[in-house]
Amino acid sequence: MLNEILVLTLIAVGSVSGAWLIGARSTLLAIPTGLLLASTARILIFSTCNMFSLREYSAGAFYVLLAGTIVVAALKARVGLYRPVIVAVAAGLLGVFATRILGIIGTRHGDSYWILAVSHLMQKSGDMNILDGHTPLKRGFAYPLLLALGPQDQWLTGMTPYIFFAMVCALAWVVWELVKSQPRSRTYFVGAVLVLVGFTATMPLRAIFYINGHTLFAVGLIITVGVSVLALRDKVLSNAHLVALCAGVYVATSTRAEGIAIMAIAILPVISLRFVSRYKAAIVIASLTTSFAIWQATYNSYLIPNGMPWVVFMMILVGAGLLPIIKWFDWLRFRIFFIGFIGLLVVFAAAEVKWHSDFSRGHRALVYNLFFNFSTKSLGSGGWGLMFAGLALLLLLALFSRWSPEFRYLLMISVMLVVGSLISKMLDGGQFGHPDLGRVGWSDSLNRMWIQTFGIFVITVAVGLIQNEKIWQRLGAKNKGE
Amino acid sequence: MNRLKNWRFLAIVLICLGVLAGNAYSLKTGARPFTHQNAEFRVNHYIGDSAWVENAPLVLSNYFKSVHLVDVKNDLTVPKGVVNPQVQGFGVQSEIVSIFNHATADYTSYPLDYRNVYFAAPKNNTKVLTREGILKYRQWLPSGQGYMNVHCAPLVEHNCTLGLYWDPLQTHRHDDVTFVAVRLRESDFALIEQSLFNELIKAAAHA
Repeated sequence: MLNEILVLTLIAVGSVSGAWLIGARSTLLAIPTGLLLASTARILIFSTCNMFSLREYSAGAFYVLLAGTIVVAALKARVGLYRPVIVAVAAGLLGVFATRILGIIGTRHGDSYWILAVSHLMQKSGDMNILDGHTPLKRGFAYPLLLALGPQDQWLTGMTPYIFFAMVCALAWVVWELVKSQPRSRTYFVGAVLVLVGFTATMPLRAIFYINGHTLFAVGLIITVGVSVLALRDKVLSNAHLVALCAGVYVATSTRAEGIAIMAIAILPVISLRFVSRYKAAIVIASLTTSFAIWQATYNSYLIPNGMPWVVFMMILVGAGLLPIIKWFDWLRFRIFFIGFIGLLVVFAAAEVKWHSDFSRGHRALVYNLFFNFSTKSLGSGGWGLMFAGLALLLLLALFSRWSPEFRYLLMISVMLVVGSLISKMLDGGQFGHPDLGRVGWSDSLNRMWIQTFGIFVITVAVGLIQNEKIWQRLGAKNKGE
Repeated sequence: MNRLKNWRFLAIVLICLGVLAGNAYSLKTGARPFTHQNAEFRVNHYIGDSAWVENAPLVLSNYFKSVHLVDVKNDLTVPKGVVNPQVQGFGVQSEIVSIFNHATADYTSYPLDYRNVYFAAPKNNTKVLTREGILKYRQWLPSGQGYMNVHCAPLVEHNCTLGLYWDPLQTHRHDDVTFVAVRLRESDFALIEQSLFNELIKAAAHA
């Protein structure tokens, strides 16, 4: 356990220090951004070591990098760094206490066993080429790499709750930044309502200890979407936010199989902004494509055509991704968010028409999982209780008002994430010749994918409610000036 | 109370209370979001002690010094153009065999087919593998099950079962052992330790 405490403390302090150095100074931003930066560094170091068959040195090199970051940040920051460090370390220690002392463990699931098996291979520096099939590939890269930092033959148990904590910090940061001009009492009230609505159902609670990459994906997605919407509102994308966004894109892309598809949707708003330079847009897109290419290369993936060197695969992928930022395609780039929005809806509608009968089981599963199971007369079989019903009703209340640009963008992104998740699920089934939309039960992959996106839905509802003046009309006089 | 005169505000409060009550009921009546009192943090034992469909090689490699599995050919997907595909084997994922590398596997042949003679009387002058003959050698799994659920190969049926058989008097922990895959019934399979399997076959032939 001492080993685990030391490793998690090093990661917590090192990651927050890294975030501080790039300019992420607030505690709520520093913790998730630090985690994303640390995860990116871990992937890059491991992949590089793997290229030269030096995998056994990857963990050591990662620790040296973290230690170096701490030293540099300490010299520069002196006392300004203590608050995020204390909070991050406390969260890490709480995670270790919960898992190692109290013995709390997430719900057992086959995917968790696969992920632990992959992390075991990484920890003992085994041959990564054996992960070339689609089953290990579906379990992701970034998350098992973090778990592999545990004591010998064990996994880093406290990392999973720490990631959940980082997700909550990211969510709180985005909401806070988007509504900070509003009276604080509204924010506190809506925050309390959404904590009660969003975090009392089984699935969000399950996500705290459940061994899977969904929450790490959520951290990347929330930071990416949050930074994009802030850039839209403020008409500026700072370097600190750009680095956080790129780390979010990078980590989420290599965390889950559907990562590249969902994150391609998530970056559309930011690359369509006119004031974002071509250079910055290129970095954002390259974060997506290089992440996917490096993951596939490290796993010797079957997706890389036989005989094609991975460098060529990466160059093709990165090159194709950069096409929209060529000057000739500016007409496309500046409209890509809206074109993507319409395109996704058209693709989904077409798929619904073509495979309507194949999807009938999936339609029923969606309703049964998210709202009410009419067979067993029980609340959502997916473990979401009344959360989605509650969020839908709250969103309805938020909609009847004048929409701010950021609320409109969040609404569009939420719709795109829902449709994108459904299309990802169709493709997942489609590769086995049976496109479908899932089955009844919490462990269905589409049902678990909502762990990744529900944070964005919560942010959307929060911003909509807080900015809706009609809700607060009779309270206005008392709240102004707070 | 002035705040509650705004119906939208009141609606938010009521929705929140309704969802809270629903979620609390759901938590009380449904599956728990997590459990406690876990004391196993070694990956190979945490997985091996579970009822996971893929963990047959891991259960064996956790117990013996090294394990070699033979006749475990399994294609989980139905080859294109095949009409009415039939179950031919059970899932033994090569990645799991390789990751926990005290195990190796030979995927040349499908499990030996003993379906026709599994229930036949031992006096039959054929190679007979009787239920009575092997049941006493069946080992209880760390998960507490007598048999484990495994993937059928190809995945035309979802529930195949697998039993593990060896003679504890002859085969000791920390031995290097070989297990033969055998099909006993339509969707029931067995991994039988090689020397026990040979003995059973020989005994049946002489009966």
